[in-house]
Amino acid sequence: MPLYNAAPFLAQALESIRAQTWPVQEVLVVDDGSTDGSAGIAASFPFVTLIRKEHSGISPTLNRGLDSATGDYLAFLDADDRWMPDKNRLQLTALFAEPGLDMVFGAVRRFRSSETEDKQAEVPLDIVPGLCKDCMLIRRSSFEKVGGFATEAGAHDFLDWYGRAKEASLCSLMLNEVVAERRIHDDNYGLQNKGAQRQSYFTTLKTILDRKRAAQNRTTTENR
Amino acid sequence: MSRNCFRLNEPDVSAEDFNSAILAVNLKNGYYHSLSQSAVPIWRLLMEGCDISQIVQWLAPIYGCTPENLTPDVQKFVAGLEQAQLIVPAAETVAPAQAPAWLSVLTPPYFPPVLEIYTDMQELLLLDPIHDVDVRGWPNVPGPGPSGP
Repeated sequence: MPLYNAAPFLAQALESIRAQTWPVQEVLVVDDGSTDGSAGIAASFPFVTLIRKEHSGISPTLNRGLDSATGDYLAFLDADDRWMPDKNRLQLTALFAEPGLDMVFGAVRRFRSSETEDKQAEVPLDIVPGLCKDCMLIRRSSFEKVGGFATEAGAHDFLDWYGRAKEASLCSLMLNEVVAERRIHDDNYGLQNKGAQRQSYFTTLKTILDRKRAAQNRTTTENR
Repeated sequence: MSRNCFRLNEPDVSAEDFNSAILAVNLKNGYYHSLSQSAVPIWRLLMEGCDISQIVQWLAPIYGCTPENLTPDVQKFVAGLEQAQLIVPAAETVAPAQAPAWLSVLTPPYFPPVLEIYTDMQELLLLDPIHDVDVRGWPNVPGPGPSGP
């Protein structure tokens, strides 16, 4: 769990980890220099291993956690989101049943955030295929074929990572069950007015495309 | 005389100009597209309110083509953009009075414009992964400020 100033929502996120029907063996919370007391909240949960670092963004924070992780399976949860109780049980069951499967996703229920911990004030939005870190459970061996999250991808760490996972031909499964609940903070539901995030999005997509072309050129050269 | 003009199919489509390439994302179908070489100035001129005849008039001498040879390529390309739902017909626009300065850096040779279509990230792009990132970073609780609708 990468953490940065998520005090209002963190306890809910951690409780959703505690509530897993398949207990989580290791919970690493990496605090990226929070200033709102988030680290203290995380530390109050006995099952949490808290790692603190200087603020440097989401990808270095994720990678710092990955460096310390010891498990054979990896899962991620943003500090303002929640897992459904059966998430890991459903996904591990799928991985155990199919040795050729690298990673499993599930549906995500998105909701408009109340900006407080009051669940009654949340506004449901939709349920969609959860192609995101929150909804992913992956074999560590498979993750290592792709590598960690790219710092240059900015806020679109998963977009870049997923592009590389596709290039590595990782095999995935999308479960129909809802496995996570994802908080949408911003009122602007789209790409149009996002400034730096928009630029980062397109830059990441272009990087994916450039890598694809480079790989095709290598294949063409090797086949001559 | 009426002009057939087009505009970006917002908000379903978003595009970014990387100087030597244009990248466009269709959030409705999850496809992303790349335009390069002659497709770039054609796209830019369309976005600036030019119709096909104006585009051909300015590009033909730059590429050493005759308007008669260039027009079918541009028509086919624009039709492809429309078919891909990247552009839609626009109400009458104000055409540029003169050729944009950036046209002066274009040089031959000419290659017919191509619209590249990529579907490999469809599942992810359909989810529009940008919308849940606060402008101040990740994940962040927006502070007090102008309230939304």
